[in-house]
Amino acid sequence: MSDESAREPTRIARPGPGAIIGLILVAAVLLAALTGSIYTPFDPIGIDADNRLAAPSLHHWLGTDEWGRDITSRLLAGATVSVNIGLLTSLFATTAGTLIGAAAGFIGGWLDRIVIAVMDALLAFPSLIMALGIVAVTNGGQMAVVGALSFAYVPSVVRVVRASVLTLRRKDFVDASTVMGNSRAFTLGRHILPNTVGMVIVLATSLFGWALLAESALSFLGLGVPPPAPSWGGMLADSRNYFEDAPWLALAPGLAIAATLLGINLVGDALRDRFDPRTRYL
Amino acid sequence: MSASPPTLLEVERLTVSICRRGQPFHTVVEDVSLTLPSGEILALVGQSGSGKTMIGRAILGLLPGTAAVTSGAIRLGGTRLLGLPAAQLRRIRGGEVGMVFQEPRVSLNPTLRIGVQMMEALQLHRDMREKRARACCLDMLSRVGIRDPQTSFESYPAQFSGGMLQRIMLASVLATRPKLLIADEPTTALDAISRKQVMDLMVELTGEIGAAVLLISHDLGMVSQYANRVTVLRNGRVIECGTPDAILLNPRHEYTRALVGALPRRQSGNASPPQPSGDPLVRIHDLSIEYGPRRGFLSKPATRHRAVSAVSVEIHRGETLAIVGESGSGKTTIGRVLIRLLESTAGRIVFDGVDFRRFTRERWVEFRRRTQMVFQDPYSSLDPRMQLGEIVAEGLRNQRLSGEQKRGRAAEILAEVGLPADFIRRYPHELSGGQRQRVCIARAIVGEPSFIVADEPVSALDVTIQHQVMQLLVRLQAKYGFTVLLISHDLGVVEQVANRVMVMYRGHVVELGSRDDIYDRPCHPYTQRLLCATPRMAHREEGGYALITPELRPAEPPTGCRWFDPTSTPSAQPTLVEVGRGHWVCCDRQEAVHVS
Repeated sequence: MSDESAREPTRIARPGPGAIIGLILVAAVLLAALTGSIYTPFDPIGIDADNRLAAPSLHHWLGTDEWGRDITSRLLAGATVSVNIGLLTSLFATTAGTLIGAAAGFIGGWLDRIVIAVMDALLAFPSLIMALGIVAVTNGGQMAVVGALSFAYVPSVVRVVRASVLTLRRKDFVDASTVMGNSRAFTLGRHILPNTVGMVIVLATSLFGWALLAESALSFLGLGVPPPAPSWGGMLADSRNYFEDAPWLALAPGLAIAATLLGINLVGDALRDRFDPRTRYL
Repeated sequence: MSASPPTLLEVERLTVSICRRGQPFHTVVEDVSLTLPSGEILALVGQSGSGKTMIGRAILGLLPGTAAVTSGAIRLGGTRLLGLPAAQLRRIRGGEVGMVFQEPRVSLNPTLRIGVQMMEALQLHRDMREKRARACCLDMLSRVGIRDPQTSFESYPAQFSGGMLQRIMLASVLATRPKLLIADEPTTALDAISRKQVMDLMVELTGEIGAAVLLISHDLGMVSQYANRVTVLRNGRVIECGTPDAILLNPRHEYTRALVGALPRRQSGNASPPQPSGDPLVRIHDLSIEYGPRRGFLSKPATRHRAVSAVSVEIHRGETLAIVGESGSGKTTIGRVLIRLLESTAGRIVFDGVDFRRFTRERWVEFRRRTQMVFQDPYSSLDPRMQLGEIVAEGLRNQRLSGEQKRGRAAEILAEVGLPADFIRRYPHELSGGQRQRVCIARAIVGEPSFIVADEPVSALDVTIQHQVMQLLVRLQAKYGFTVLLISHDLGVVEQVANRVMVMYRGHVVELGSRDDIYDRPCHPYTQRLLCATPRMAHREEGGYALITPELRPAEPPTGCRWFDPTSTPSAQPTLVEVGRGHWVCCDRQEAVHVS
């Protein structure tokens, strides 16, 4: 007699429209960041007193700001800064958080208790306030922002990864790995960490977004990338005084941030599905 | 004979389809007709995927969003249920039709007290005031054998065992006095003794209030004990319908015959245990295992729970020793200690002549190569991110073989456990439960171990699949000659394959003997109780099968023998008495032992 029916193996799904839109958006942002680091139509920090707050025109595609600086050029140059901050922050925070969280969850015992106590204490500070403090005591600049934001986001990553490792640790396939004679480190690397990948990717993409927004907030408070160097957050912050006269000032960086976040999240979801055999085929 | 009772439930040519984009896409129930007279029990039997649950859900209008009734009619006491307005349907659900699900732990809300959940339905459907509803619930709770209804009423679901929760579910569903009870695998998640108790209660109580029961189960043996009529389903179609006796004795359809043939029964092949040759593979001496938190910093001294007390047994090379007992008897704990997933608290374990405590590092590596485990839950024992080929090849990781050789060996073993060649590249989620369990077995035997602990290897599977998987294990054991420690609560499964059986109760061995000793000459009252709770099949001389319900009267609990008072915890160490060759029975009062 036949076994009860098994699920049919199915074909690899083609990436959906979301993934394609996400890829296009991310590619555009990366291209902008790359372009901005080697070429901009105008000097992004060059002041032109005759052309203050000019509306978008053929000459200045996105207009100029209150110092007469070309918005297009600033947007391109700022893309480098913002992408750097977003990428590095999410990379550092997820890497550190995953390692700490996995070690705490898998090894358990005293290590786990200490890690959780420290992380809870850190989480008690709003991450932005903590980043503010760190940036304030260091000399500022891009790397200070990255370091501060990474540090501020590590606790949330640790908590999420640890919780998921605790669940995975109780699965029978982890015991099966022990019975096969595998070392604990091998079990962690082979069976536990790969099963957290989907979640870590989603975390990393949302961290990218949070970092962009936090950088805006820090710039808004004057603690981000020091002026006159452009960053999307800084541009958004500066635009607030001229919102009625020159709305394009806010619109350009605002749309850039929104499009980047959308793209990153769509790509993150697609990657998560791609890495999970249960959703890779549809 | 009185006039036949009026028809309560009528399902007429019911067809249920899974729909995609509003179009019927896949038919899961096809042209099924059933009639259920008031007060009778109708069993729907079939494997997973046969559509039996869909029928139950269609009656209550609880089909999942992707499924829909595409044709047919359902009538309850003359009312057409399909297309009934939502408000009327709600009155019928819980009021006239009650439902008991498989997993009591997920069908009760863990954050609400038992009483609150029980009274909800009564206040809604029987329009009772709180005081009367409360009295009614307390009454039902004591009827289902809850010892302290008052306290239980104020307790949370997490404070009860699965069997107790299922009784509470039964009490709360039957308190509304429904005309029809739909029980979907009500006892599948329970061990043998609770299974029987819950079923007995269900039959008794529904009989009392005159409710009809639609009993949905994969276990033909179990339903045959209770049902008036049995309907066998396969792939959404009715295969055969009749009284349980007719189906067991004279199954007409080939599929039913296969179903009946898969019911657990004794195999004549392994009647006598292999003669113990040389020293035993595993010797356990006075093994005790305690659980519980060690005393932590600033925490009060924890009470440690003794899961296993002073167990001694030898496992001979090539034999299958089964440990049976209800949940909480310590059987799983012993298995995990033997495979060294847990540490013992006291006692000695000698593996292949060497004490665990004298093991060197090299010996532990060797030990890991020679011992393997098959786990209970096939859904959590395979890494979802690995292909089957990789999963099986991992069992060879610690052997000196090239990647090519490992892959080849994995493919051979997968073929040997009966999986097609292209399964090497498949992922666990693409497999059925039975196929997954085959992969677990393949992973365990690929390194040719000498000792395998199989912890409830088939309890998550349908009866027919159980049979196939156990046969596979027996065949592989004959080929590779490994020793098996089989842990199970299901005496039917054990009877098929075990050479010797050890019965455990609350951490103690109560009886140990050859399979025939235990099944034919059980001495300990607890063993007798277990046997009575397990429906088993035997060949009839005139052909077909019949249920054996052991005629053994469980011995009256001897006065003062604390083994049979479930409220007391045995403290003193009981002794094992040899009542036959290799047949040991435990009692602290020797005169209480029945030697038959």
